[in-house]
Amino acid sequence: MAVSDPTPDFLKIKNAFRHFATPEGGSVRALDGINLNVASNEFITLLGPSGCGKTTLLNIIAGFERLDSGSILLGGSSLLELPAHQRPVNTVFQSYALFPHLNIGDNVGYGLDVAGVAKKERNRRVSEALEMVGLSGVEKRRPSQLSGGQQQRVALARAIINRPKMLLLDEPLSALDRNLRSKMQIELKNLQSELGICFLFVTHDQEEALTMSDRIVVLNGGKIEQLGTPDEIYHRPASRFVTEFIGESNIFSGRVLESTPEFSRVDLGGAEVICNNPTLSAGEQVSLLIRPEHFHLKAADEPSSSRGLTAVLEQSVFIGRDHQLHCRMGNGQEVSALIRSSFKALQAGQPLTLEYDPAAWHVIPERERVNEVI
Amino acid sequence: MRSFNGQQKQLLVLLTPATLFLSVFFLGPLLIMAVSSFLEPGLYGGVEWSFYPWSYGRVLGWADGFYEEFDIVYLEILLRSAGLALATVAVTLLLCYPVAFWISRMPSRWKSFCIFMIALPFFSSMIIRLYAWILILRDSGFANQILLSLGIIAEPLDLMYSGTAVILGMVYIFVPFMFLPVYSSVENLDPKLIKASQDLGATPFTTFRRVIFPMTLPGVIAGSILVFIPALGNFVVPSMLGGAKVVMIGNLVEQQFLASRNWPFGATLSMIMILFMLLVVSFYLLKVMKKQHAA
Repeated sequence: MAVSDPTPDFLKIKNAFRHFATPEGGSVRALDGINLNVASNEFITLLGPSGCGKTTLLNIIAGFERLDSGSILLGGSSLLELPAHQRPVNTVFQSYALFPHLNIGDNVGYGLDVAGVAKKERNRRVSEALEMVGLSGVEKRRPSQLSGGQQQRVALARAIINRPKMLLLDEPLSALDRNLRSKMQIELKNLQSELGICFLFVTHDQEEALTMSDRIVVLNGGKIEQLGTPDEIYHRPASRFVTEFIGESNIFSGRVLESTPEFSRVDLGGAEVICNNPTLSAGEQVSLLIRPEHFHLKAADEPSSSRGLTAVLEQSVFIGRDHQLHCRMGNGQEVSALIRSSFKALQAGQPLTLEYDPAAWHVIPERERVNEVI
Repeated sequence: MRSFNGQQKQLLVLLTPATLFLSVFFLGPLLIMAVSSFLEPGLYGGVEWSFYPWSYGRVLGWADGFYEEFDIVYLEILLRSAGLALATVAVTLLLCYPVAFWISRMPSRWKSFCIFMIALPFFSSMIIRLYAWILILRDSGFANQILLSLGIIAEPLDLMYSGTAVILGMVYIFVPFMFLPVYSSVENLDPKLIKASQDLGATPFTTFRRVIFPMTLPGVIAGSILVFIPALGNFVVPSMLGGAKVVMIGNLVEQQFLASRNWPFGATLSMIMILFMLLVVSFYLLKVMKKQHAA
């Protein structure tokens, strides 16, 4: 494949600030000092709840909004001075934004038509782009005659036909049903590696972000909460916000009783757990995370170990391959566990021992954040 | 006779009042006029019941010189009227299109207010509003006074009783007819489409030409037709602001009925005007639809 070597700092965002006036006369920081470097062949996702600034950042890169202060460089030259139509980036819009008065061929070929590409070359590239998104031979149809998934593909083909240096995707899959969405996630990822260009993907769907991204930027209140690979974000969340936003989690606060280089004993208020974390010191207050899927049920004939939480089962929900268990510990705290379904039915009120691997515990760095309104 | 099902009954109930109204008050008079146009004029108004094709001949050229004489002036008046109506369409469109964009981007409170302001002149009588224009345009009117006092002109301009005055008055009267359909199509235009066009490399002008204009064309067509038709037949504005100098087809028809007491000829002129309108409008629609289809 003729993909050139990746440039590590292809997109450079430095000290990006942007605030908006609220109807009440206040001001909200949509971007509050964003610094971000993205490689030229990276699939990077901006993830966060609505109002976190992810769409604002995308709009600023696309040229639909301005920056209060800061700089954005793409391939070494500043983007901010260029009007939207001169920027070497293209966007896939949330609601596709296909031109309803043009047929599919003319929609996809729009970028080439306004650039004055010759008819023959244009038609060849239109069918090439449509083929790339798996939608050949629909040139003559109207957008309204296509399904949501097909419209999505047309929007993709339209955005890549200009051969952008970077593709911006604004929640492009949010209108699709679940099955189609997972299929499109894989196709998007494949398309990205095939094109070898940077995809900047905006979503509030953490599952989507984990599936596709090379790296994820978790945004909250205009600030970057964490920047890392999906694995890092999921297993070693950098803040309580990230922990709660990504995946299901059990968060406990406790006091460190004993700390050795091998393990630490932490008191969760009546229950004691062992975790492998050498950085803790005795007497320290900590927040601990364990994911529900990191518990497993001890079989009755196995010898009991100290590495388990005892809890009473309150509710068991069958979700297909797994059972979701909602339990309550002796000290009244709730704990949820995800275990592989088995033939043995569990009864509500039944006492359980939820076993864990001491390495599964993660200490959440204490770094509470408040959304500032100035 | 087969019985109606529920849906057909509903349709029948819903459509009956409009059908009755239109048959009695629209189709009926139209028929009377169509018949009258082929009858002989009565001596003091009214009609004589005998076939008389010469009224059409007067306008279209098969007069025999005995009953009626052909005169090209009627066709000239028709064409001039069409020209004035077209000018009215062009000016109202130029005024309304940018304003519609401007208003569509306002916060919704201001939108309603502005639309109300545009419709506000309708709350007073058209005659009164046209008299106001006379006060503005006449030799000693506001316009001349201001221009004189500013030293821009030395003598009062002859603003009244001209084609310009008629166009001005008609534009004033018909602005809401153009504005509302244009505004509704502009308002319905998804701003994302404009963004998408820019994003794909189109300059603002290209975006206008390839996306904004084609997408708002239905509103422009509706507005143009809504202004063109009543402007073509209008006789109040030309008779008040155009005086005897600017006779439009509407004035001519009015004169035939009220002054000349030649009802069949008035009916003939009306019929010719209606056919002309149908021709122009269907030609326009056909052309526009073809263009839209090709795009």
